Amino acid sequence: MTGLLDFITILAVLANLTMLSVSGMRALIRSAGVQGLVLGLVPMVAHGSPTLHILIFSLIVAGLKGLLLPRMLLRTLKDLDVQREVKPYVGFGLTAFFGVAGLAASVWFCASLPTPGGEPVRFALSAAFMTILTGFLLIITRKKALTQAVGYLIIENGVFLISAVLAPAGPMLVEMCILLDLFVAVFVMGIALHHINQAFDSIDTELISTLKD
Amino acid sequence: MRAAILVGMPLAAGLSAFVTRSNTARRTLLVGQALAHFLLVLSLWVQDPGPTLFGLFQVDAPGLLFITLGSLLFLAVSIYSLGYLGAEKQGKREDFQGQGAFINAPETRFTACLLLFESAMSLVCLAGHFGLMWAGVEATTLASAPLIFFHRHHRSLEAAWKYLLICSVGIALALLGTVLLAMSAGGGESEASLRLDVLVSRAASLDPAWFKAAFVFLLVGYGTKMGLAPMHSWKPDAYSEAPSLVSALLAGALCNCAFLGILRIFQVACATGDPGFAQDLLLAFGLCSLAFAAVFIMDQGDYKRMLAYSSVEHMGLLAFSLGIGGTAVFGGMLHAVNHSLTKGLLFLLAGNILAAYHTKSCHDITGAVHALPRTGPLWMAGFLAIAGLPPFGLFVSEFTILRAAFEAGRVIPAVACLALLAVIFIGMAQAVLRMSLGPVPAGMEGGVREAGPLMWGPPLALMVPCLMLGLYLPGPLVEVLARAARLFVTGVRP
Repeated sequence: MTGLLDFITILAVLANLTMLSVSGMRALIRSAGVQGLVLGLVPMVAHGSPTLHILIFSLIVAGLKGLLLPRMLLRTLKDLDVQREVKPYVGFGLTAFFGVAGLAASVWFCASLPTPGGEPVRFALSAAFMTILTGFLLIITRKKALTQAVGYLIIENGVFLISAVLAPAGPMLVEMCILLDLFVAVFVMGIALHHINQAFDSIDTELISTLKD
Repeated sequence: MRAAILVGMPLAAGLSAFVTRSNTARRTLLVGQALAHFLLVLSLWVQDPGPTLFGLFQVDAPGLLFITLGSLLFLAVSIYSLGYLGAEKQGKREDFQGQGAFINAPETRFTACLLLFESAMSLVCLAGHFGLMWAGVEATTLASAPLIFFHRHHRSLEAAWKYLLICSVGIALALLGTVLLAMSAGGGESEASLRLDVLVSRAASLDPAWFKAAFVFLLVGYGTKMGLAPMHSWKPDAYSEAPSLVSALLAGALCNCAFLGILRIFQVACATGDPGFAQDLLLAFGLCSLAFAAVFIMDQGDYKRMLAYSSVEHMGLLAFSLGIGGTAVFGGMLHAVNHSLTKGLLFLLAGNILAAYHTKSCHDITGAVHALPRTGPLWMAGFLAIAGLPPFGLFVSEFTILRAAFEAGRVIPAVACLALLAVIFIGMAQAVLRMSLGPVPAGMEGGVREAGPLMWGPPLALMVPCLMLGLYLPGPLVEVLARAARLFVTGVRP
């Protein structure tokens, strides 16, 4: 099954690079969704013989991160009726370059970690750190508040990949509470975005910066 | 069982508050729930129910301390909210600074989110599993973001968005730390590897490299939520723009929840027998928070922002106390108790002052002691308490922490801490004395704008334990504080 893990890892890395370089908001959300969907399969792939518990958990994660959350964000985007471009502070080429540099740094960093499970796990781990970095880059370098919500989702994707390849599935109750939090977080962010759009007639974060010392 | 009820009861009450149309019924539900919750928490002091639900829930000394504080503060806030919600006008109105009109969010949603917040807070305090505790801390963020946005004004919206985003991203790092912690415990083998009791008992066999990484991420993650500098940037915005009773809850109860997250991982660090690196980090974050607070409290023009920076200061002191270790931890625990009570009552009083003077600027307020005969003197006393002057409780706890620092031979950090505390004292004294003394503005003589007893009663009630803890520590409290401090044996450091 390790070939499959490599394949998923590569898809996740490609999704990161796409997200760092696309200008359309819809494409950005879709890529985050594809990434979530394939990452949902990792618990099944990473464990040699998946139990029923892991199977159900995988399906729930894939459904939530791959279908439900992207749909919610796309709906928000449609309702907002804003310009469908992400508006960068830093150019797309430069952020994509940072992404690649981040991947290189992650590979170098993970080479020194005592990881169990050999090369595929190590590669998946590098991809996970790159994913977290991608989320941060999107939050920092894009002007739209909606992009920040997507960035948060991508950081969660990265953390999930690490936990899926390294740590065992915890008790079902705990896993479900964590996923419920993620769902409610995106839901609450969606509502907040509606209000921001109403109050400012835009979701540019430049406009929401009146509070300071 | 009682642990599950303490989480479930406010949850059920919160969900039913969403659909309760009658104001009277909903407000009764809020206060009734708060009272029942507090009584149930008190029963935990009489008898410890032991671990429940496969060890996912437990009641240990720090958890008991913080859930009691949270529940007490919530009770005070819920009574205050009766007066507050009664006085809030319906419909669209101008804000005091003339920066645009706003309406309030529906009261159903506000009450429901308050109750959900209490449920999440209880979950954090009672969770005996790092994953569950994480879920609880994130849930507190999600329940409190709508509370900050109660006044639907673009400033509070900005504050709520920053709070939601910065804290969620911060907490995501804590989740990463949690995963790394499971890794340090050996990863794949067992489901119980994130239970606090299991981790403490197996601490010696944790992988040190993974554990250090886990500690750093958990400290930064929960530190963001707690408001340690330099991750505190959401705090002044959120505290100044939220309704005052929400700020009281955030500063008094929520900070403790995040601190509890750091305490739990620090407890594991102590059990490994080598907490030195953890203490160095905590000491650095603590002093950094004190320094940021000192810089921004000087000449602070907004008294709610000033209180927020004072909260950064006290969170810094808590981190500092863990960094020193030994008896300082006992002082730190006591400090958390004192700070919660004092900061809670100060924010409630700030709400009364804002309602009477219609401004958040320290410069435009004079004569509060005479203009508001109940709120004014309490505000003055609250300032003396938060600044750590005797005979209030915070004096005792700050003294304990600093004495422990000198005794442990950490002279340079202790002196730096003292100097920063002095700067903060001067900064706050300037603003508060100007607000409290001086001439009474025209039209406010004789306390005509003083709020009703529902709004000065709760802060007055909180002032009682604040003062008492400076003069006398009750036996059961000392016992629980000592039990909590014993969990963090740091040994003697050169």
